[in-house]
Amino acid sequence: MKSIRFRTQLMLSFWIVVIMALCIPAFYIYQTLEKDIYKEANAHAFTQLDFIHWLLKEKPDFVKNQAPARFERLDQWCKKVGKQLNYRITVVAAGGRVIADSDVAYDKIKSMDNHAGREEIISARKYGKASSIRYSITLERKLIYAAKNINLANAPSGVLRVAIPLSTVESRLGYFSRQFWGILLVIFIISTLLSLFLARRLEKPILDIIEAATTIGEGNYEKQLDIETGVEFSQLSAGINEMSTKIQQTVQQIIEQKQELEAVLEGMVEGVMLLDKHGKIKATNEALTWIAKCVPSCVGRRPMEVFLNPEIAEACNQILKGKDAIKQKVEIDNKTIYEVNLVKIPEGGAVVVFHDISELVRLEKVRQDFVANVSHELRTPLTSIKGYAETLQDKKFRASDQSETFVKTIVKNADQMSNIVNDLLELTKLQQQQREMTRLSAIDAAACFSSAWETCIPMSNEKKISIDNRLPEALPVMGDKNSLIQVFCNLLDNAIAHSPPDTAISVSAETTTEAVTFKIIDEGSGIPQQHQGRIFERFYRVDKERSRASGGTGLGLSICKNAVTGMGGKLWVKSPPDGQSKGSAFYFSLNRMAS
Amino acid sequence: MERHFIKELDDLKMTLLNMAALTRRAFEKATQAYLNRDEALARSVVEGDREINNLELKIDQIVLKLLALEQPMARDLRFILGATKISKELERIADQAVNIAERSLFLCQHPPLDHLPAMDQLIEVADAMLDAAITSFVEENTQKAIRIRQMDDIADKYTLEVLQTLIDKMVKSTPGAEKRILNTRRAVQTIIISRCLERVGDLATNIGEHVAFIVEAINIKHQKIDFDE
Repeated sequence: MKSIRFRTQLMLSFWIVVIMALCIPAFYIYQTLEKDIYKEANAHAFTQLDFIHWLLKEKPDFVKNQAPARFERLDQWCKKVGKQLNYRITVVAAGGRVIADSDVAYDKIKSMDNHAGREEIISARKYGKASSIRYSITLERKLIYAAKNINLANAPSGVLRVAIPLSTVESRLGYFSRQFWGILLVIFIISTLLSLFLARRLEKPILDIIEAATTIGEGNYEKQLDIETGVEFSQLSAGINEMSTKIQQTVQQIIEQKQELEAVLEGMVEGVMLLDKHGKIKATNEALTWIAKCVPSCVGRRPMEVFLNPEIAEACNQILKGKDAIKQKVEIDNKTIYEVNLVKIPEGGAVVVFHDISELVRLEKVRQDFVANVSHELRTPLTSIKGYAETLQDKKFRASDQSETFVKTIVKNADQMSNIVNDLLELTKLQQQQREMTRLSAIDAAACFSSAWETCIPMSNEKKISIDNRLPEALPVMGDKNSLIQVFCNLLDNAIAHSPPDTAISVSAETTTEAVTFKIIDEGSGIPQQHQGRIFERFYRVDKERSRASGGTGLGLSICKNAVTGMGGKLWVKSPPDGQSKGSAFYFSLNRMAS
Repeated sequence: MERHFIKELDDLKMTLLNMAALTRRAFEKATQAYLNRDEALARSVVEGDREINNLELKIDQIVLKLLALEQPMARDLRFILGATKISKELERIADQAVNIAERSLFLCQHPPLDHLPAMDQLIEVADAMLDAAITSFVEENTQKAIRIRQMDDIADKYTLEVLQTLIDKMVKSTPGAEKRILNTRRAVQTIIISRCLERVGDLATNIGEHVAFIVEAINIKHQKIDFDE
């Protein structure tokens, strides 16, 4: 039924109804009529038979003559009467031999079949009178045969038979059925046309509705139906219109919500990924793609493949196995620390959020280191001062020669402490200034360098370290004179402290239209890569034992960094310097003009 | 049956990735322990080796089960065979990491030698090779896997440089008996570390070869490859 068109279905139903309504009564009427007509024909045949029988009875007898002549006369009589009545009249002898026939020549009668087996003859012999309808091969048409026993004095005994053509009966029936088929055809045509018309009428709105539903299904909600055929169809079309409007509104709402959600997700600094219930990544935001460095996309892969981190993979597994929420600190690529929050989705799957806390962790470490370092740096000289001072409390000892040395040591350590405190104050001041953006003026960097070098000469002479000064005679930059001298001082101090004896320190500057970049290169041991990021922190020491022995406070580079930043420049380090295998190069830039 | 097989294969891959991640971490920790003279970190590497060894056993078990019960074919078969080989290489890398950590423990307990830039670079190259080997396996990237070999030459060069620098130092060091012994001991330990790093590079190259075998069914072992192609 699925593949048959509505129109065809309607037409077929019409036809079935028409056939049922027309053919069954027609068949019944035809049957009754046929029966009546045959009955009438039968009655007529018997009347004719009785009439011929009577004629035969009234005729002069054929008895007393010679046998062949008597039969010949009977045959002639039959032919005469038969011609008159236009019937075939046959007389069959008791044995079944035909002795007279109106339609067959006398000399041929002898060669005719024995008629004893014919239906009407048998019945007539038994009941005296009978009839049957058969097709006569002799006459090539359907005939009704009526037969009767003859038992007359004036004629040979046997059976008299009359054959009347059925053509009249048949033509009447034929006329009836022709008319019936004609009417049926007309009704068929009418019902086809009617069904087509009706189907068209019904099909049009249905096709419209189908088209509308398909269009809505394809996502085009603008389509509006307008059907006026029939109350039901207009109601249906109104319903569909309302539905499409509602769907449009809902879809619009969902799209807007989705866009908002996507915007929120994409705008997040935190990496977010969604896992399906099998533990595969279903969706991620852009931040996560950066964290995981997925090329081209993380979707469809497993957290283990993407992060190569057993902790994350294990946490994801636990969440998928039913744990509600997990919070974990995870380090990715040895440099970034994330706080990973995993939350289960009740429908299956999980949401994983990566929050970058490396800066927090770093600051925390810097703070801890700072406190530990300050205490340590101050405690060391303080311990000596306390020890020596306690010894000096002894009056006897105070009178001895050694007391002088002890006092000197106390002073030296107190100086060291005061240096640290001064440096710390300086650092705090610089950081404060940086916040307040101190006024900068045009100063001569070359002059600043010269005065800084003067303070370093005693130290350099001691280690026989020479200076290779490639600065121009005058080099104007924007800055603060005291700060710049201090920067040079600290950098030169460091360079001398870390250089082996009998080497040189080179100082040069590179000038562009906007800035001057200073470069101080030493031939020392250099700074290992992993320390380079932290040497500007307060009290950070690459090599703890050695630098403390050299008398530094651990604040020099930190002060430099703050001073240079305060003057609007940058400070950085390269170790080993470009094109060399050892030593380090400190760079800092300063603006040439007021910004 | 088929689903079960796929799940087992997935399980194998995840276990192998887990092992790879742990191995890489052990290696990174060991090198950090050497560079930062961090005793605690070095100890954690030595202790963590057991877990990696257990994972190797687990992989062997899964592989044996898959081969016995599933009759894998073509790529699946190559993957399963490759997985055992890769796990073996990873286990050896983890052992090298333990070696590095143990040498570092010794070095931490003595004053440091002068900074060796070649050693920094050697660590960087070995790390890059291991990283490339693992990524090529995750991404099934044959090109990346084959290119690991190129880095091997660089690693060899740095190893030699470390060796020469340290030999020079030992030769030149002051003849004072005790100082000299200490100097030599530290230098020898450092040379062993450089050897371990070089071995890690070789093993990473092997992993790359296994990846090429799994993905493309090609055997690039002991063959000369023209990288200019």
